Amino acid sequence: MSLDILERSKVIVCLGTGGVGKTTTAAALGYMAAKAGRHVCVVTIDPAKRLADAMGIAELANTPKKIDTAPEFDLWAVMLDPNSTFDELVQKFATSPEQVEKIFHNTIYQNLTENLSGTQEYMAMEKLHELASDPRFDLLVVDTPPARNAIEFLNAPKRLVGFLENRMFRLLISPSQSVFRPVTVATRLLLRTISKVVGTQVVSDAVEFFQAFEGMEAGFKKRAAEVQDLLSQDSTSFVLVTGTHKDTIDEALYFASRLDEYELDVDMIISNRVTPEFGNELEDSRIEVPKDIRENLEYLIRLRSAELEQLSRLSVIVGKDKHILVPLLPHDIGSLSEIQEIGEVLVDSRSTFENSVSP
Amino acid sequence: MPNSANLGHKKKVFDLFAQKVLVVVGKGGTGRTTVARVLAELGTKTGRRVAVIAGTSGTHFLAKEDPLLSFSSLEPGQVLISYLYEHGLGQLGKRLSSTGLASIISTAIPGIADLLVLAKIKQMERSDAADLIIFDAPASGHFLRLIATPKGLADIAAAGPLRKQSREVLEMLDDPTRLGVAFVTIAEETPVKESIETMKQLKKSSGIVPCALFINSVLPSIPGNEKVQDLSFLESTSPYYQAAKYMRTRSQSQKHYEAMAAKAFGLKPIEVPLVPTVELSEDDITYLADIVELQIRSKK
Repeated sequence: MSLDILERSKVIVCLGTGGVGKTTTAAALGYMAAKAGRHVCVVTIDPAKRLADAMGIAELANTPKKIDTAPEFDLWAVMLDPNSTFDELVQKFATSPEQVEKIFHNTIYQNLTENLSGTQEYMAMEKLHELASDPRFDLLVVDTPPARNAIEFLNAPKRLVGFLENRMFRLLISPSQSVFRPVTVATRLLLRTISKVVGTQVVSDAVEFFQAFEGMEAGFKKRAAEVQDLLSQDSTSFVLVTGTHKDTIDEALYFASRLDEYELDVDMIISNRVTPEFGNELEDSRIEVPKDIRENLEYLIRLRSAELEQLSRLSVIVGKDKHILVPLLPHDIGSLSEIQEIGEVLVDSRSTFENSVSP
Repeated sequence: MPNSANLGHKKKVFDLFAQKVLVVVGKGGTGRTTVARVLAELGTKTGRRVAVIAGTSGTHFLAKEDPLLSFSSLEPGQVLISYLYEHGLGQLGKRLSSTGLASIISTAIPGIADLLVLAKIKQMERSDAADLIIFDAPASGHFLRLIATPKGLADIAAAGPLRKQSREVLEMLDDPTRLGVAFVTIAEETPVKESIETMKQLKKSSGIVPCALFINSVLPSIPGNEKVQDLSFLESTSPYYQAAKYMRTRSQSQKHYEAMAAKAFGLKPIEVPLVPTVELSEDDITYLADIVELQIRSKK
């Protein structure tokens, strides 16, 4: 096995924009690690239906399920339900059953998972935290939620904690504050303006929300710090997944440029859907090749070379020996054997950028 | 030239100028922005003033020096923040993080930011700023969910100053001579199935019928592909043979999913070929626009 991250990691996080084959990559990495004898759980969010079926996790379930189409391996998968993960977290941190009820009934809470960006990412991290101490697994492969940019995954805890700690509303609802220091004129005016602009309901929902969450921010904050700690350990590897188009490469470069803020490194890049290499026989004229057949090969060579030129921009992130090119398969991934097919490509040393460009 | 699969003959042909606002929707990575750019090219070609609006900030847009073509972006979160600023929260908001306030409001009222974006577009539509407005919609499910649920849209603004805005946006969404929705997908299983799903939801809950279906990244049709079996004079390991075989498999698969989409949408799909280049140039846009124009004109 040439992929050392499969041997040395306890956590592998797959990052990338939507539609680049992140889930497939996570599944393939998990499969190969399990094949090598590791005890693996793949954590995924919202996979395409065929892929979920292939992994036997068509149903939302917050507990890992053993993939029974691969009984010989210790390979598990869980399809994360962000809503119930959040519910469990609230139950964990709440001080009373009444507080739990109040939160569950609040409109803002109900809308949070789908409408506050970063919440799903936070829940994926939360699941990761929980499974990290599960003795059944020694490797977790995490497929992060589809986002415009992968950096949202790392930003998530900060965003959610920031949301819960919103200063204005805390000022309004904190009883001690209102006794000793009356709500300032400016804040009252602000509230009135908000009511006028977007309706009074928003203000009362928000006040109710922050009242209900009172005292729980610390729990969330501590948790976020623990996850951050887990992510910065050497045994956690980051895999950046891309396609071949300019925009996914741009997003990947943007992501890498911001990684320093988190003191993290990308361990490897996997680029999916690369046009395969067919070799170059264009100058061999011993045989008369029909024009269209010749043009077809020329087209595919041009396409591949354009893709490789885009992909070579990624060499500022990792060396070409840590950049794997996965050829485009003629079909969608819909079975475990196809996940294995991708997995075999990933561990094949000929798949690196370094080795797949003919001299 | 792209494949021209025989996909029925009585399907409605897309008319780019049948509406003033064209909303281009599609998942990330399907090439929405390219299609928007190509359609803008077709618009300016006829002397119309075209405004392209990106629904996400930072969209890379191949702009060219053309007084008829303008480009701007309306990112929902940003639009909400400026709305709050314009409505009295400007001076007050300085002490507080305006983004924090905006995220509370958009969580309390899901869809409010998208509604404000549509309101801005409606404003443009009613003004004489452009003859054709092409909105490169955000890839998120939020936006589609919003236009798919007029009732939800009305609920967002049940009270307050947004009520008038939302009523006017609804009127625009309801009128196919004012606003049309064009889908962009690539001819592969998952994107096609997801597009069909979205289209059905849209039709069912809002009555909006998509006016166009663009299939992006279509591979060229090599006439000899069908004769690949006869290439016995070539070694099966020969690059020519391998390339022809690969292209035939990919191209057949594309035709299959294109036909599936065409059938479900009841539209003649408009093919946008895959140009084997690192980055599309202005010439490539002109080339793509010519190909799209031919398809829009044909069988009218």
